[in-house]
Amino acid sequence: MKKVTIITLATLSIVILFSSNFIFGSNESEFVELDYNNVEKAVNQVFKNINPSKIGLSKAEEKGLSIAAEKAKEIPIIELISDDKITFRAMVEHVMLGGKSIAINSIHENSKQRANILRQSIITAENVYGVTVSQDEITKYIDDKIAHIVNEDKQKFAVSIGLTTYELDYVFDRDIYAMDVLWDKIIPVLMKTYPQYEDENENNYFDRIKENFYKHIET
Amino acid sequence: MVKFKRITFMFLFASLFFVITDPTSADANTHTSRYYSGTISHWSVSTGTTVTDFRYALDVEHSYTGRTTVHYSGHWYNYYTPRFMDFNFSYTGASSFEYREFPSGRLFGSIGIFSWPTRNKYQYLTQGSPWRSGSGGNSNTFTTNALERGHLTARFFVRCTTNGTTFNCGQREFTITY
Repeated sequence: MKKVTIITLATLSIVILFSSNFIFGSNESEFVELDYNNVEKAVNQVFKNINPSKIGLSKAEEKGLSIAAEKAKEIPIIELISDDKITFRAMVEHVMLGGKSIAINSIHENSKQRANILRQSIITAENVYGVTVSQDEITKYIDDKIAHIVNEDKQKFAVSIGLTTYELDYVFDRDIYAMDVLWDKIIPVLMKTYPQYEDENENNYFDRIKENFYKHIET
Repeated sequence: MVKFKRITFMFLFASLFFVITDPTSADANTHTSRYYSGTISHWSVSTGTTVTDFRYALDVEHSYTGRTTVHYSGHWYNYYTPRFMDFNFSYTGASSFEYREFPSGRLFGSIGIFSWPTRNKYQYLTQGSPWRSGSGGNSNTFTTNALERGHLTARFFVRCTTNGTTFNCGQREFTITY
């Protein structure tokens, strides 16, 4: 009787261990989440390598936007794209991800490449597909979709670079939303130019129209 | 008195089967489905605010005979953000399920974002491009303790990948009880 009990308990234990692993699965890493409680520290570290004036900010002790940056709503869209600003953003994230040393050169090179692709995208959209973006359209996009969103991480970042969230949305991050407006406008044009095949699923179709757009650009 | 004791014992013995019987043989399999739509916004230094329109549906087949048993779980989603066109970022959707015995109680089953072996067997119409889509189905059986109901927390994620690193670019949570 005792033997039977021991065997039964042992079997049950094995079943429980097996099924709990089966039920709860493995502990895979799904994605990275940044902790914006450390953003000010990261920004200050990056400012040792990038002069704030190069990205439209006043000197660190003065805070706020530089006078030149305030003209962001008047300049040609392509001039919104800045190698230094993209580098700054990439470096801040690199530091927040625990990057041990700021690999300035490689981040700067990748950022220059990215900025170049964005500029070429603006040119291609106009020259090949007849799509342009105006400053008014960007402002309206920010009014309708961006400015009302309250986000703690955004607020922390704005404070860390000496801006209000209004200045962050409408001026500092204006280049990001310029591209959003461009993509929104060009997607229907691309869909008309490259119609979906009958048996083509949405994901493959979208990859195809994206590929067709970028074939005009040196990536 | 002996007869009474015997009847009582037989009744109690028979009741035990309601508690320990293999629940997958229970009747009254119920299909619960829910449909949600809306907008997810997310902010990060390099992406600014990402705005993603989404549609999300979930399907659960379950039964209750003395305890809740989940026989099947499925999800389906459509989502759109103009950022799909960005050369340096790729956007994908994902979903995870957590089953608890009460809203913040014992976890009795979960399905991670990489653990959906099949498509959701329930068909939903996708209303064409430029929405991207995805779905997942899982036939694992999850069972509560006796007399407990199941609470499902389903999560839909927008993931964005750049330079080999994948970030959370927005999520939404849905909770149902059955």
